[in-house]
Amino acid sequence: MSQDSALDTFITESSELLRDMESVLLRCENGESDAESINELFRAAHTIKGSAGLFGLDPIVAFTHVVESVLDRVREDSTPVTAPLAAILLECRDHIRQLVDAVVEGEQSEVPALSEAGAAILEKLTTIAGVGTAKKAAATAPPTSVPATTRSRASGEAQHAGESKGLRVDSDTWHLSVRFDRAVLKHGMDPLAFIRYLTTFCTFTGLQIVEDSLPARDEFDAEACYIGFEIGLRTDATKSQIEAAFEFVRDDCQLRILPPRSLVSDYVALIRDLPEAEGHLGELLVQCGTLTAQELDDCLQAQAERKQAEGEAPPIGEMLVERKLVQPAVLAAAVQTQVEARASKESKALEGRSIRVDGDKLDRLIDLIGELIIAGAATGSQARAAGLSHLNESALHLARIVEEVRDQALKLRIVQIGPTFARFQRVVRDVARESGKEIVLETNGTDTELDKTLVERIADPLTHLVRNAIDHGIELPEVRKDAGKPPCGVVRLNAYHDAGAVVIEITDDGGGLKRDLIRQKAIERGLIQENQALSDSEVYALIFEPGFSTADQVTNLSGRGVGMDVVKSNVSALRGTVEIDSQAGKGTQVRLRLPLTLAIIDGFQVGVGRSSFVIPLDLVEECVELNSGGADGTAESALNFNLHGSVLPLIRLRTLFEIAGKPERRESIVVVHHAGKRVGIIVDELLGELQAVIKPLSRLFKQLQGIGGSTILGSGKVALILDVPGLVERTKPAHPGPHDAVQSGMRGAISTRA
Amino acid sequence: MACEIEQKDGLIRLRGEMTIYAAIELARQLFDCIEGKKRRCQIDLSEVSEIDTAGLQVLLMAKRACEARKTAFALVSPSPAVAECFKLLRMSETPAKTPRRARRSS
Repeated sequence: MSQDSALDTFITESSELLRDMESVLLRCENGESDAESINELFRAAHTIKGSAGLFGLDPIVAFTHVVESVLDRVREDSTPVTAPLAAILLECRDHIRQLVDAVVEGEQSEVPALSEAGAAILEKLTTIAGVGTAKKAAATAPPTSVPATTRSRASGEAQHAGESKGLRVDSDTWHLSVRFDRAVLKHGMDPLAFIRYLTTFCTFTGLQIVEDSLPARDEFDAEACYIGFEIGLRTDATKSQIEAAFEFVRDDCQLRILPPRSLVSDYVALIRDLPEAEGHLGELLVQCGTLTAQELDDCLQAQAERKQAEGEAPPIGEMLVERKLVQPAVLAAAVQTQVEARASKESKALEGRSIRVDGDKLDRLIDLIGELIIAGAATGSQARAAGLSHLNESALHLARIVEEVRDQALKLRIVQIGPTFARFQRVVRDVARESGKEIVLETNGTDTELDKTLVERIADPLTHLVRNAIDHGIELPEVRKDAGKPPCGVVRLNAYHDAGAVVIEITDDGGGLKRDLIRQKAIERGLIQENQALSDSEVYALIFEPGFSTADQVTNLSGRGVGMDVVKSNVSALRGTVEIDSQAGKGTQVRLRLPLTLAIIDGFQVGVGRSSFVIPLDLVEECVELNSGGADGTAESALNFNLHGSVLPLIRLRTLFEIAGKPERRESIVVVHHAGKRVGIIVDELLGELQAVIKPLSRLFKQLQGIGGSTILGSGKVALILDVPGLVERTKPAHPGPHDAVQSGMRGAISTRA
Repeated sequence: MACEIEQKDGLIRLRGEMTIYAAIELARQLFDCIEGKKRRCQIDLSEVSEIDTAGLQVLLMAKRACEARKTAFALVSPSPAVAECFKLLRMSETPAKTPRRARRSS
């Protein structure tokens, strides 16, 4: 269980790091790399590798390790990340993403297809990175590179050329290092039993009893445990399986496991962390496979000789380096690890200011606050009914606080849209490359805030729209030049708040929609009649019809005719709308209009007969009295009203929802606006403002038109929330014209601009 | 439950369980026993029925004590239980003679 939740954390964390890597790499590719970017990349790769190692996710560790090594070398050379290197690193990033995704799907061991793809990418990576650094090495001939190369040549282990350069140890054995606590025997555990158990699934290549802690005879307690083990082993098991062998003594021992081909620095870190004196460094290195016994013996010999000559011996670590038996980088790597550890500690402190909270917990909190609002409203109305002024006052005070709590709670879920926009840099880059176009993405209003759920759900439709803009909108560079436009196309993402809604605009400066082509296809598909006259926006709206595609050729990006209708239905599901504007030769703009939040709205309560309805307050413009002479009649289409000199179409709720009973003598009009259109809703009574906690309607009522949800009033009664956008769409234009038929024929309520 | 020590012809023979249950007494007796050995210390393990980490530690202590006093130390004729343990831990019957140990003592 805890393993699972830890794994979830790993996945979340990796996703974030991968996202960071992506944005840094994209910056690098545009020539905006600096010293910090390579550090960021390295840290991200390093952290992913480290965490993956904790879970024994070997494919990720193995792959990321090579990436990390390359990044490390680039960093040491302090060369900038060039565009080609960034491109290949992007591929690497994507591969890591795939590996992580495989873990998400529950595949922890190696997936052959993935590892093949990974090997191919790594080969490209080492080639590119190798060229870059080889040049540098030739120019300055740093002494550090000499022992490294001689060593790998001498030992003839060049099969992992890229890896050995990246400071890998060429042994294929795991290394396990365990020290037991003194009390382990008294706890009834026998360390030997764990070692014995290991042999059931591991083959030991070497084992050393570490007995350095054995005390002098006088201090020896025969019931305390003083020993530890260093074990080299071969196994098909994962790291976590090996760890599981020590499950029972987890708290009573120090266990360190290094997978095969670990970083040399990992071995060095292991050695440093062990309690034994450094005199054992050599022996341990032998066991780690860094040195052969022969190399160590030679070294010890030399040390002994010098001891006689000078009376004092340098530490064995220095000796080894001097004899070029250990790569100097081993020690450098060890120092590096320490520096990094400190750096990561600092960044941890910064992170401490924000905490990660399970989304479900937030949902639950907001749910409870919803209940609180309902209960508060009930208290308020009872206080009013009781007519006790003191009670009423405190009820009002309570209501104010509850309102504040609600706002704060909703803010917890509010995030900026910037990161979502930033993701499209990558989409634009990839799609532009694939289609041979030059495109830049401009983003505006990245600090616009909206509900996290919305951000998540809007990402897919947005991706589709951006791809569409690139694939269908932006022309090829030559075409653009001929049309007198700059060769580089621009896709613009813009977000802003407007009347309680978030508007997201996707604009391109491409060829625009081909009005005639859309019309022709629509006629072919029987969506419209040949002789129908349609306004521009009505024609453009046709592309949201299911299965509609005007693309001359199907590319792998878009043009298969699925998409725009999915975008529309996705947005509608969020109580949002889609509008489209286009100018031939100039470009296209798609506007998504979304509600700010999904959970709670400020509402305006109205009554019709004995029923209550709630209208989202943001959409209410004004309330006017319906004078019986101004507009009357039974036919819905005839209901229009003269408001401030312009025609206002009316909807009578009583008629719409077939509510029994006679209309009140004095009816009111609530003027609502949506997407630039105004509609008047005729109601019996105006009941005032309230906070409505939206309770979604069950599946059974999904088909209901004009209703967006329900809420519970303070009195305990249920009120229906009007789907104002839906109602506005339903309204026939103020001047009934020949394209009425089109609108009703198109069912899916398409927004047209007034 | 207990482990007996028997000295015969310069040979120290351990009999019984070399486990944590007997470890304290075993350690005390065995160490006293070794004190008396000047040149050679051979421990016969043929009648050890069981050995665990505690028992092993006592042997390691004994070996160290001998090495400190330059007394030759040897473990001989291990019983099946001991042999299994030595095999597991890659110990030879006479650990004192392995090169690795030799180096450390120098």
